[in-house]
Parts: sequence; structure tokens; C-alpha cells
Amino acid sequence: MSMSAGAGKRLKLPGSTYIKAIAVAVALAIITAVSRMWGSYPTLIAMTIMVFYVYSLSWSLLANTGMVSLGQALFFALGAYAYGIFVVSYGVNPWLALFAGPAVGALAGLAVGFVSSKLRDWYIGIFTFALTPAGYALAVSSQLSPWTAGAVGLTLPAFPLSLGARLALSSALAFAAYLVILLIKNRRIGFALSAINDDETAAGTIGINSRLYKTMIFGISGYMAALAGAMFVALYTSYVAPDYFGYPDLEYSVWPVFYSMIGGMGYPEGVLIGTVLLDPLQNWIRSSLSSTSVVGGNLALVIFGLLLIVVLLRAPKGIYGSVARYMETRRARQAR
Amino acid sequence: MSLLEVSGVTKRFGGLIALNGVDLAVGRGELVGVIGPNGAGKTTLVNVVTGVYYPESGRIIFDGHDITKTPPHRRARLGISRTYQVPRPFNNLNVLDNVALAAMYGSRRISVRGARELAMDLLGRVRLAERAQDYPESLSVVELRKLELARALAQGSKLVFLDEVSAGLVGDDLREVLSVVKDIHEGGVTMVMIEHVMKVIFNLTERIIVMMNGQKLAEGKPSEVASDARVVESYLGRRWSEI
Ligand SMILES: Nc1ncnc2c1ncn2[C@@H]1O[C@H](COP(=O)(O)OP(=O)(O)OP(=O)(O)O)[C@@H](O)[C@H]1O
Ligand SMILES: [Mg+2]
Repeated sequence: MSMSAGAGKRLKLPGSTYIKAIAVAVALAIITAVSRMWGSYPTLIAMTIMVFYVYSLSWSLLANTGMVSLGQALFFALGAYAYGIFVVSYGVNPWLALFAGPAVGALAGLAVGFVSSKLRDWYIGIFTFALTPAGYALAVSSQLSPWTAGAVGLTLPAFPLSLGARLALSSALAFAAYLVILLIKNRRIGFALSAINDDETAAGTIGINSRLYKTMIFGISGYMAALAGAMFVALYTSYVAPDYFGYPDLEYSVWPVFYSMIGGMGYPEGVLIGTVLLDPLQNWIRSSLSSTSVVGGNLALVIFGLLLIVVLLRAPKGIYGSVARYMETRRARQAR
Repeated sequence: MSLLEVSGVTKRFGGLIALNGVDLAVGRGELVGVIGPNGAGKTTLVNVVTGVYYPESGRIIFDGHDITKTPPHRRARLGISRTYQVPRPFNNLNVLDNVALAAMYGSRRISVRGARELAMDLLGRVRLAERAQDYPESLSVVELRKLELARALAQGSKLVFLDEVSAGLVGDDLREVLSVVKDIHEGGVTMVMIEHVMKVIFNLTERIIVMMNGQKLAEGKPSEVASDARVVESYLGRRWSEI
């Protein structure tokens, strides 16, 4: 083989990647500015969009590596509790707790990833799902209640920032999470993750260590989900509850699934579209329609389930994914 | 010393013995042909050497390393690659990146851009450059075989197994693919070429191994093998020119 290989290890991002990154930055800035000018309720809605964007990215990172987590709330809640316990029980600086707390999620992610990397397909879903009741049980256990405040939940001191600044911080973190995904996606590891998702055996025979990557990705995903949890309680609710573990109520585990899949989980821009469209809708359904529905507070789950079926039948790669794939093949056809 | 030494390898699938104490040595720079009827164990042999399956007994030595229990990705990095008889493309990557990815994780260090350049070159050589930006799902079976070939060659391996890459190819496509194989081999890459029929490899290889029922039935120069009574018999009495 006569081809000379480029020596550098660093990757030059393709032009369209910069355009997408700028578009995402602009979109996040617009959401932040408009909601802030609109009032304090829209500001809170925008803040949950940012939190759930980070959270949904953590889920889609796993899903795009062929690991469907049905218990992502484990990491979300661990991040929330780590922040709460650091601040309340140990008097840690809130800023430090916001970024260091999620390390607990990363460690849990590495452990769960190590086991998951030996499992295939739906077993990962069952395994992760089975962990959430355990997390809930720990949170409400009487032995740990000096730290967790048991079923009552932890009430947190206010984060030392104004509402507007908290929203700005949330959007900055959301953009940082997007950049992390973008970097992973455009380096050789990103291609490898996609190959692992497609065919782990074939990925192995071309030299990809899928067990190592799966474990590592679970660690990163665990950190991101836990960061979302910490952001949620530090900047928004000021309260940590056991049901953040997605048990007995599934919601905290399934929102990122819905947002990612409907928006287009293969693309971080698609996940943003899913979150921006669905998260406010979810809040609205819950606050204005649920009380009158026969399924009560679960109305949003029912509606989103139906929505997911409709979208995936028409557009299997989600809203953004289908458009992107269509454009790409059209460009390829025109180039010929 | 041989590049690859397989000794006494046995692989069972339930009650079925797919490989029964197979010995095989491949020297550096060789191009060995392997033929045999359906179910002879040819693909299983590749699977066992590349680590897709682990044998129940026997040893596999590659380039001085005992790789009998080594996981597949490490064997690839040591310098073994293969094609799949039933193509296994990465459907979420386009054709170019399928090949580039193999270059990125093969036995040499290379940048993403360098890998893409190398991939484009290989796609040109197997006459698949036109489809570089397409996704594998839109490829024909013949195109998928070429993709398998390009991907296996992109790894820059010392030893390449080609599992029926020429199946379904005719005319110019067949000639081109065989000439790529020949070029790469002449560039110093050791190859094991599995074919269903002898015709394709008769002029290409110096040595042919005939497998049957999980065992080595015969081995030798193409002309010797072709006149071997047992080989002729195993192909139900057909003349070698037909097999
Ligand atoms: N994963 C598997 N599980 C069960 N049996 C298998 C498996 N792989 C191969 N076999 C069996 O092992 C035997 C050898 O199969 P193998 O694929 O190695 O044959 P082959 O020589 O490559 O045949 P072909 O020319 O049809 O490709 C066959 O009887 C096959 O059915
Ligand atoms: Mg076979």
C-alpha cells in the first residue's frame, strides 16, 4: 500500500460541523434571551430545557453506542443527591458541588458500564432498569436518612446566583455538553462507537475494543446525566426527592428516551429539537390537562408514547435524523 | 518460522464438529488458497483465527504470539484482517468511512484525514469510488463484497483472510478484484484466499488446501491438488476444471 498517512492525530472538523455548532449556540442564546425577557415562568421552562438537553444527550450517547439505558435516572438522581449531600451535610461550596458531585455519577457509570459491556442488546436495558428501585431504596433507607433525609427529601440552600444568571449558566452547560458530544462524534472514537452500535463482532475484527469503549462511554454518560441532576436541583428545584431515581414513577428515566428518539438520537442537534419541542409540552400537559384526564398525571407519558410511534413509523431516525439523512444522500447523488 | 501456525484446532457447535484437529501453517509472503464444499469448515477456520470464536482445543500462533485466547480486536492490531462471506458493513457509516475506520484502527497509526485518503485510494482500486458517499444499505451484493475487500485491506495487516470475495463477481469486476488481491500480495501481504471453486485461485496461488468435514483433505500445488483422487471424489467425481 503506497498511500502516505497523515501524521497528525488531531482532526480538522468539517465545515458543516462549525455551522451546526454556531446554529446550536444561537438557538440556545435565543431561548435564553427570549424566555428571560418574557418573565420568570418562561425562564424556569427554559432552564428545564437546558437541564433535560444535557440529560437527553447523556442517554443518546449510550444509545448511539448500542446501549439502551432504561434506568438513566439512576445517574440523574445520584448527581442530584451528591450535590445535595455535599452542600447540606458537608458544607461544600455550591459551585464545587455542582461540578464535583457528578463525579459520583461517573463512577457509577463506569461500574454499570463495566457490567453492561459484557451484556448484549436488551439485557442492558433490563439491567439498568433494575438498578433504579435499588437507588430509590437507598435514598429512603433509614440508615442513610441522616444524609438523604429519607422519603421527605433534601431541601437545599439557594444557589448563589440570580434567576437570570442561573439560566445563563444552564445554557452554557448545555452548550458545553453539546460540544463534548460533537468532539466525540468527529474523532475516530465517534466512528468506532457507531460501528459498535451497528455490528460489535465486525467492529472487533477491525481492531475496535468495544468493551473498553462501552465502559468509558458509560462513565462519560454517567457524568453528564449526574450533571443534569445536579443542575436540576441546584439551579431549579432546590430540593432532592427519592423519585428522581425514576421509581416508582418512570418519568425521570423515560423523558430523555422520548426527547432523543423523537428529535433524532443520532444527532445532538436532533436531540435539541426533541427537547425544545417536547419538554415545554410535557410541562404544559402536566400543569393544565392532567387533572382532568382519566390517566391522571401520566397523560404526558401516554401522549408521548403515541407521538413516538407516529414519528418513528414516518421517520425512523427521528425528525432531524430523517431530514439530515435525506439531504446527505441527495447531495451524494448530485455530486455524481 | 511461519507467520501463522494453527495446530490441532477443534471447534464444535453443539454436536457438530466444524473443525476437527486442523493443522495449518502459512508462511510469510505466501498466498494460500483454501477450497472445500459447503460446510467444510472454511469460514469457521477464519472465525477461529480472527477470534470470532474460540476453539475447544488446539493452539494458534501468529507472528510469534500465542493468540489462542486473545480477543479479536487485539488480533486485528497484531495484524490479522478478514472479509466476511456474508458482508457485515457498518450501516450507519457511509462507504468511505467504513473503509477509513478500518484504517484508523488497523495496525498503523493514522489520522482521520489520512485514513479517508487511504480509503478513497482503496475504493478506487476495487472500483467502488463512485459509491464513497453512499450508505451500505444502497449497495448491491457485489458492491458489498468489494467493500468487505477494501475494508480488510485498509487495516494494513500482515495476514488477510478473504472469505469468498470473488463470489458473484464476473467480467471486469472479477478481473479487477483479483488484480487488487495480487497487487496487495505482491506488496508483501500474506493472504489466505477461500473460494468455493478452484478456477479462481488456480493461477493465483502457489499452494491450495482442500477442506472437507472439518478436516484437511489434501494440500499442495494447484496442479497436484487438482489431480488428487480424493479431491476429485469429494467433488462427486467432477473434473477439476469444473470445480
Ligand atoms: N455459529 C454457528 N453455529 C452453529 N453451527 C455453525 C456455526 N457456524 C458454522 N456452523 C456449522 O459448521 C459447519 C462448517 O461451517 P462453515 O461455515 O465453516 O463452512 P464453509 O466451509 O465456510 O461453508 P460454505 O462454503 O458454505 O461457506 C457447517 O455445518 C455449519 O452449519
Ligand atoms: Mg464459508
